[in-house]
Amino acid sequence: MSTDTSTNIQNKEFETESGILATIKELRHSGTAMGGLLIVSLLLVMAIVSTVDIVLLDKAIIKSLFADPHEMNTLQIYAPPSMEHPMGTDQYGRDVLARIIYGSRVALAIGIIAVGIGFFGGVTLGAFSAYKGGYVDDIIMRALETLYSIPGLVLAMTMMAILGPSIYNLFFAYGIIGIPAYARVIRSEVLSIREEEYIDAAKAAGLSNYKILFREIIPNGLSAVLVQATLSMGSVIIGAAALSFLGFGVQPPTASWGRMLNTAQSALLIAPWVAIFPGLMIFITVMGFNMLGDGLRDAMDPRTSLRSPKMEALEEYADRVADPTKADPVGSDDWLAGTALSGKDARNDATDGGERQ
Amino acid sequence: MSIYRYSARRILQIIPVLLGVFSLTFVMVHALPGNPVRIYLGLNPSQSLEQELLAEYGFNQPLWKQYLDYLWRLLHGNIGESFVRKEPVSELMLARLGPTVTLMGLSYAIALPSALLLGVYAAATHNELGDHVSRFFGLAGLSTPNFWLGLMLIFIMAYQFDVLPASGYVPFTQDPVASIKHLILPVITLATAQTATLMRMTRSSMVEELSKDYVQTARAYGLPERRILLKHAFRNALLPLVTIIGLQLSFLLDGSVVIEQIFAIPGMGRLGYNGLLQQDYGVIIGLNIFFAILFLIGVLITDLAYAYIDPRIRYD
Amino acid sequence: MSLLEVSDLRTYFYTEAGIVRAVDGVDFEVEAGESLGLVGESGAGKSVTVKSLLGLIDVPGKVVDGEIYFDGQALHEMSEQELRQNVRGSDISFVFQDPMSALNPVHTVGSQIAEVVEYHTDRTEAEAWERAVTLLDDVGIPDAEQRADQYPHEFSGGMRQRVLIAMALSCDPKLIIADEPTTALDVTIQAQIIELFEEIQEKYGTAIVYVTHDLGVVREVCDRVAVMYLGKIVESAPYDELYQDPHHPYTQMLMRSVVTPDRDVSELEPIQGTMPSAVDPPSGCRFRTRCPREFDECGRYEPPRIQVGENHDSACLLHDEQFEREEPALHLDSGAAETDSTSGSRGAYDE
Repeated sequence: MSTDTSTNIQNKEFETESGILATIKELRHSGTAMGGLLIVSLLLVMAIVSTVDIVLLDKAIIKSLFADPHEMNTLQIYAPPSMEHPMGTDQYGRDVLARIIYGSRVALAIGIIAVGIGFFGGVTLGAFSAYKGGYVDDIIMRALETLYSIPGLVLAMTMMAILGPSIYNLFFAYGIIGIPAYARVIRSEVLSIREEEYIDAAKAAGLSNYKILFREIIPNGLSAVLVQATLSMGSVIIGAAALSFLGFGVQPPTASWGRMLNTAQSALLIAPWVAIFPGLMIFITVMGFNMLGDGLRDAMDPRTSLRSPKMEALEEYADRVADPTKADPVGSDDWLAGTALSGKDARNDATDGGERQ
Repeated sequence: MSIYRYSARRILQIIPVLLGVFSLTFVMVHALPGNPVRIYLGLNPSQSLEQELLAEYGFNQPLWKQYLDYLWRLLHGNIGESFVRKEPVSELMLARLGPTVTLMGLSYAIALPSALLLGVYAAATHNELGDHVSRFFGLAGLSTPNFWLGLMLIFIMAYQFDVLPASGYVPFTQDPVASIKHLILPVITLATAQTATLMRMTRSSMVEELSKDYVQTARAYGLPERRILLKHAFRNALLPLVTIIGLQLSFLLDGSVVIEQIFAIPGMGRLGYNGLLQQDYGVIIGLNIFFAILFLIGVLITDLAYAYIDPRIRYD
Repeated sequence: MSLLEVSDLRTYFYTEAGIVRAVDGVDFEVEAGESLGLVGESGAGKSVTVKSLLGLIDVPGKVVDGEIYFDGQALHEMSEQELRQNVRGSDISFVFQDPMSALNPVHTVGSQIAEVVEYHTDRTEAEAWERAVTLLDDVGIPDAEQRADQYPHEFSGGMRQRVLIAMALSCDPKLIIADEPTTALDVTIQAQIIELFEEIQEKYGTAIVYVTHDLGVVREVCDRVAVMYLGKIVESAPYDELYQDPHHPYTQMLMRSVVTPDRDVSELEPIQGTMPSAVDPPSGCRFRTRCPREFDECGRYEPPRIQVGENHDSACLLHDEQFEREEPALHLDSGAAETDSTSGSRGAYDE
């Protein structure tokens, strides 16, 4: 008996892993996702190179290619785009292109670190809350709802006012703000996965509750949260840029796209290029993450397939033709999917919800 | 569960959250660096006056007592006083409610119908050209930072073509035409991301509904496609959307802070923003609490609407 | 002339894995007032066949060939518009498999029936509602007047299926297509719904095409049975004759794999193997890969449906005299030795 169930569990684990791999493979068929991946990869390269450049090489690369992003030049204030400065210069005569390249460090760092904090905080709290249930669940969820009910930017601005404007505080503030959304997604995932039969099997096999939670439930619920993370990467980058734009985020002389727009506002009439390019970069970056996230979500959703229209119905059909032991889809699963509050819908609502904030 | 019991329970559920918001705000404000009355006193405060003021506002009391006083005051609708403007915060906030609500209301009034229309259209042309175009614009709208969009609109419409004012706010009662002219750019800025988000959700909700069995039934009974789309699928697709619309309010409130700043609209967001810059305790409390309450009311309304339009009131 | 005449119907699905020949040359007829059972394993193409009749096949599926005459009209030549206005729901109506999801959750059951009535007849809204209530009463829903004003979730599975049957009857159709209407229901409820179909047929004289994988259900409802295998009809006969004297090896095996009052579970003989893919079906006879009586010619010729009795035909080369073989015995012994009747049935009837 016990050997039987443990094989079941292993099979399930195997399926989960191959499921994620299959998802990534399926991504290749989505033009949107591949476009997003391309954009994100280019930005990553840009960010890594400029980090190496500033930390190890004392800006040697950027100087040889364009100009020192921090070097001021009073003779070149608000110079329009030219061969020397392809995107013009700002109010201190600094090269906008060089600053935009360096700005990718800040944008990606905020995206990745803040989303990371929100992700781990949210997954831990949400899974714990769902697994404990009862009043622990109630208290945690009410606390997270509290955090959720103050609009994100307002909460972030208040936190930045307390902590003082700096890029590290920005990571922290946006990390905290992200927690409730992840917690909600993983919580609903855990609640629905907990009802699955293989969890009963694991219990019957005598696995401890925490082992079941960390080894069986969380890994299976993670895919939904991963989609959420990719999609919220964009909104975190916009949010953090908005904070810098409002003067609460990254401080000079660090190059950040939001901060560049802040100073650009007053010079919009005479030097529009200072406003156009940083904003365009934010747009492209966020678009990249959103395209990737969108593709990822489609790929993970068993009901849609990226390969060709209506393939899903067909694959199911072909499956049945190939393997008649699989019965016609009948009964409870189908109509459960139709009710508004089934786990599936709750998950979609939650992932959709993650696009905002 | 009856709809009345559901509503009552839903309203009761807000109380602990509200208490949480009050407490969180208290903690945050007391964590602010610096002395709360320093700003009140200006550049050269005298020691004795500072002590006097601290005592007057109860800042020298033990924290727990300050906390209880604070809750007590909030229960009586008294948020406190702005040390910068030397006026009660609730009056300051309410005086600025008009522009903010106008901006948000108009944005929703534009975003919602266009999002529903585009979303249904995209779903109806699922995987065809129309769908791909709508999806692209949906993603693009979602990816455009509103503060940048605002700046670009000002640059183009006000500076390049000089057709609309770059910033400012005129109350509708004072001069309707000028009022509308001043509102066009901010409303478009705020509505763009809203439209994109809601459109994407409408689309995915519609696509899901159109794959359901009852749609197949309707088709097998020869009902016209338009009727299936609008009367059958749309009614169902609307249900998850209603909840989302409430939650989107948070996004709108955030947007109003940024947009009021860019377009110099004298609303609550701008007041709060300045309060934060000046470390004005009362205004910071007011900003957090007011925005949280507006959000919670919005969510409550949409939740109740959901319970009303969904015949299966099966909550929990 | 028969009420429904289908000849050489082919419905293919164009997939990346290849062309799925879900329905590949199906012929059958249904007389007015007759009930035909369309029987076969999952994936045999039963559902696709009946959906093709009304043009309810979605992309990437397509009805690629065949003629469908219904009551003298050529359905295969009709436009989507004509089908919708004159056939679907009015002349031919459909009862789907899963009553839990086939009704719209946000409209009352009465309004959903009334909508169909209003659309297909010239009744007013009030008259259509009256009609809906009458129909609900007819199909055995107590307090029909009040129940009509309720939503689907307030009904049990069996009651919802009654609602769908009421909807099917709403425009006095000449033919009702029931696609596994009892599969999703409890056994006791199944019996009630089957009884209801029998009553309908007696009372209204409506022809019924009853799609099922359950031979037990077929016995209750159907006058005649057509057995499908991998996109083709392999045998067709009046129920009693098919039961007494099945000719096609597949039918014979089907009969032996089903529980009947006079046969114990231990005597069941599950059909060995699985149905091949419809993307790349076996050459010649499609059943030969699982057939205990396969011989050389089976792979070479596609067996035609050979008349073996009155109203009885079977598509097997064994019936053809040019292959000098003995008629297949009614109770085959040869295959029985190989079958392991204690192992889980992988045949059609294990659902």
